[in-house]
Parts: sequence; structure tokens; C-alpha cells
Amino acid sequence: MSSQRTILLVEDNPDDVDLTRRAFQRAGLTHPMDVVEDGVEALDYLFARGTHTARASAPLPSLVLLDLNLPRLDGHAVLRQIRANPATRFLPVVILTSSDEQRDLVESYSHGCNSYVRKPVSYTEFVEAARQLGVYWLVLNRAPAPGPGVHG
Amino acid sequence: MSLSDPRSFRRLLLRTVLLPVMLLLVLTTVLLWEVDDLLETHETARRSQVMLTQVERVRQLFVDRETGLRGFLLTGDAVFLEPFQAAEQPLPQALEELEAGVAGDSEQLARVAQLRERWKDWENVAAEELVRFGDGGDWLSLVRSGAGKSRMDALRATLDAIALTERERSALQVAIAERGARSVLIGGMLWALAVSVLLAWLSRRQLLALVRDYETSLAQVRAQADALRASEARLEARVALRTAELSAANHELESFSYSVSHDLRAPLRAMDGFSQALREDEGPRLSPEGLQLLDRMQAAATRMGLLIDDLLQLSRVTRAELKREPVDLSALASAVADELRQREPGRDVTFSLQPGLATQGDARLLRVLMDNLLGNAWKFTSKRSGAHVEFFAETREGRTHYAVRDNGVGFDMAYASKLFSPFQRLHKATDFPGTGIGLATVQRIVHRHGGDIQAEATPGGGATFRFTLQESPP
Repeated sequence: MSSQRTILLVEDNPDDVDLTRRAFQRAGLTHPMDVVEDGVEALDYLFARGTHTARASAPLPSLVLLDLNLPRLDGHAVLRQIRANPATRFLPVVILTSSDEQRDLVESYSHGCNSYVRKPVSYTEFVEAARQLGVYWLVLNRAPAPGPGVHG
Repeated sequence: MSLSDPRSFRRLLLRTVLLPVMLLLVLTTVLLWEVDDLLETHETARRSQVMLTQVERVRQLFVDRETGLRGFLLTGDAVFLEPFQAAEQPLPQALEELEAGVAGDSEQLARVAQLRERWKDWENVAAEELVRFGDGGDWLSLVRSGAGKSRMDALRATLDAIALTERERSALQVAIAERGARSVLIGGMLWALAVSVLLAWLSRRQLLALVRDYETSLAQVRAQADALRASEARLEARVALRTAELSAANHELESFSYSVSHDLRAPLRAMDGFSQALREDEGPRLSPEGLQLLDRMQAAATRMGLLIDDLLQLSRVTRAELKREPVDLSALASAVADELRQREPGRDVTFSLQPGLATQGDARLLRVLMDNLLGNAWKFTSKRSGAHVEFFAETREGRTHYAVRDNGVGFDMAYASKLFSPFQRLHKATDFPGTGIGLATVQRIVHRHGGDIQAEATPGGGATFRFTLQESPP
């Protein structure tokens, strides 16, 4: 089990980035966390393009935490492209957002998200959510091994 | 002339009907008069015929007298005298009738008078001859003198003259009548022809006028229809514009709500999160008062988060498209009750939920409604033991009323009117936490289903909320 594989956090709000990092640390998850701030960069990161060409040989993250309201390309479009690509088809993607709108839920599940978690206002609840997410997706859950030659 | 003017239209009708009728009446009168004239001519001809017969009768009577006398004188046989005597008596009568027949014609009357003279002359000669014959005198010389014959010839000539005049007069009258009839016939035909031509011309003129009028009206109607279409198009354009504006406004409102849900919560999360971080990292260095202030900061952030959530729900309830589907309210109620028990397992609350209450409505909105009503009942019974929450239905005035009843703190009915307005609370937040938006949301859901909602309560005696989900019958 590649316990040291990274978590990719797609989040444009620096406060939320800090809080999420803290929450995962507080929950005892030591996985390195990479952060990208918009949808385009998220796809560049995953497909080793643009400023992330250096990642061509790096493995895929073990979990993507995806916000919906993002600059340039929104979370729904990012999810669609992740699922459209054979290399990232099975990549665990958890939507982590403030939105509780039915339409966001329906669209996210339609495009194949693995989970939809609403960020609670209460930090204590957020830490608990992060802990459960980490335990489930990084420890309990088994995902198929990513196909070879993902980045080329 | 215009059809739109009823007076002129009536005039036109009158002219088209009355004029031909009058012209034909004139023609009929002339024809009747002519027929009368012909009948009269016929009568005159008949009278002439009678006259001529009369003349012949008189002539026959004279001949009888003459031949009777001549036979008697030649033979001396009294048998020959019979026609002579038989003709004597009717002669005056016949002459009178003849005279009556020519009454009014002085020339003929004069001839009849002459006839009488000459008859008398002849009778004198005849009487003389008979006297001489009776006396055995020389009657023959008297006959030979031709006195009788010349008188009888004169009589005949007068009769011939009367007959001739009568025939000529009759022929003349017939000729006049025929000419009159012919000219009336020709005149009538010409008249009828003229009337027909006149009528044809008038009809044509009126038809043309009607056509012109009709075309004018048609053009007007077309113009009006065009104007109507144009205004309709303008109206449609305006409606389309308004619809576009409305949907733009709706869209804006939606994105606004979306932003509120997304962006307003992020700072709250930061406030709560960093307060917690401060507590964790710097806790040992903070005074108990400092820690308490952090507590209050976090409580305020949590409360604002709840407020935002409730406000979003209220706006969502207002905006959401209403679906009508079968909904099991009893099942909804027991699901909500289970959730409440799970959330606060320490509470001792008895739920009495009437089973099998099904209705038509929007399942999602009705879930929100039950959440709020049962949640309120749960909340306001928290300060007492033996809490009891009921959900049941009853029929009032033919409508199904659903009711949620609790035996909690209740409220003063004096404030019942504020109950369903947003942010109106009848209890202190320290006693019963809440945002004051729940019942406003409930009322909107009920109203969107076409129903209404009422509350009954007494302070300390619990509260009952009754609602309908259908429009009241008219």
C-alpha cells in the first residue's frame, strides 16, 4: 500500500487550504498534500501538462479533494475531464464544497464523483469529517492500480 | 353612400324595392285600363250587331206588308193578306226599338224619323189601294202609277242608310280599339323594357356602390387587423422582454443564493477554524476569559452558519418548482422522528403518529415542512418530562386538516400573528435556540401547495399547528 502517495487538494481559498491541512493533520493523516488553486491547474497537475510537466513520471495522487466553485474551470468540468480520461477514470474524487444545492449534488454524482461532502462551518465537525474521509479513502478503500503510462 | 350609415342603407333598400314596384303598378294600371277599353269596344260591337238585326227585322216586316198586299190584290184571296196583317202590329214596336238603339246619334235618329214618314206614306197608298179594291174601283191604275213601289223603295233606301252608317260606325270603333290595344301593347312592352333597363342600371349602380363600400370596409378591417397584429406583436415582444428580464432576475437571484451559500460560509469556517487553531496552539498561554471569548466567537460563527442555511432553505422553498406527486406524510413524520431521536438520544419523547396519511404534494418541500414542525415540537418540549408529540389528520368543512400537537411551553396567542414572519421569535434564544425562519418556511410551503396554516396555543399548555395542502373549495 502506497501510504505516502499524495492527496491533491483543489481549493482557491487560502483560509480553507490552511484549515483543511490542519484538519487532516489533526486527524492524524500524514500524507503529503499538494494544493492547486484552479480547475485548469488541477488538470495540468493530473495530466502533467503546462507548469506540471515535471510530474510526468510521478504517480497519481491517492485522493483528489475537489471544490466546485473554482476560478477558470469549475469543479464539475474538472470532474468530467478526470472521468473522460482512461488514466484517471477510477481516481477517487471527493467533492468538498460549501454548496448544499440539489443541482450540484445531482451534477456531481452524474459525472461520477466518489463522495460529496459539505464543508461544515464548525471546525470541530470539519476535523471529524477529514478524519473519516482519510480513514475511509486512504486506509480502508481499495482502488484499482492506476494504468501504466499515465503521463505519456 | 356608405353601408356603415344605417339610414342610407335603408334608403337604398327602399329604392331597390319600391321603385320597381311602383313602375310595375303603373304598367298594370295602364294594362287594366286598356283591357277595360277593349271590353267596352266589344260591347259596342255587340250593340251594333243587335242594331243591324233590328234593321233587318224592320225590313222583313215591311217586306211582309208589301208582299202580303201584292198577293191579295193579285188573287183576291184573303189568305195572302195574313202576313200583311201579322206585320202591322209589331212594326211600331220594332221601330221604337230601332229608335232606342240609335239614341244619341242625331243623324240616325233623323233617318228613323224619315223612316216613320215614309212608312206612313206607304201605308196611305196601301190603304187607298185596299179601299179601291174593296169598292171594286180602279186599284190597278194606282198600282201601275208606281206610287206604292216608289215609297217602298224609299223605305228600303232609308233602312240601307241606317244599316250602312251603323256598320261603318262599328267598323270604325273596332279599328280605334285595335289601334289603341296595339299601341298600349307596344307602349307596355316599351315601358317594361324601359323599367328593366332602368332597374338594371340602378342595380348595377348600387352593386358597384356596394362593392366600393365593401372594399372600403374590407380595407378598414384589414387595417384594423394589421394594427391589432402589430400591437399583439408589440405585446408579445414586451412579454418576451419581461420574461427574459424575470428569468434573468431569477437567474441572478439563484447565483446570489449560490454565492451566499458558498462564499458567506467560507469566512465563518475560517473564523471558527482559526479560533480553534488559536485554542489548540496558544491555549496554555490564554487566560480563562480569553478562552471564553474564543468560545463566544465560535458560537456566533456557528449561529450565523445556521442562519445562512435557514435563509437559503427559505429562498429555495420559494424558488423551487412545485411537483405534485403522491407523498406518505406518515412515513415522512416517522423518518423525521427517528432522526430527532438519533440526534438527541437522551430525550424522552413519545411520538403518536397516525399511520397511512397520504397526500399529493412536493415530497422534498413536505419533508422540510415536517422537519420544521416536528423539530419545533421536539425543541419546545425539551424543558418538561413526559413530552408528547402527535401527528394526525381530521376533516373540517370537507377539507383534510393535518395537525402537529405538542405539550411543550406553548406561546401567548397575542403574538400569533408574528409567528410566521421571518426572524420573529416568541422565546429567548438562550431558552430555545433557533433562527426564527423555520415557521416562515413552513408557511411558504403550505401556501405553495394552495393550503393555509394556523396555530393554537396557551402559554405552558402546548401548541397545535393545523395545515391544509389543497386549495379551499370555491
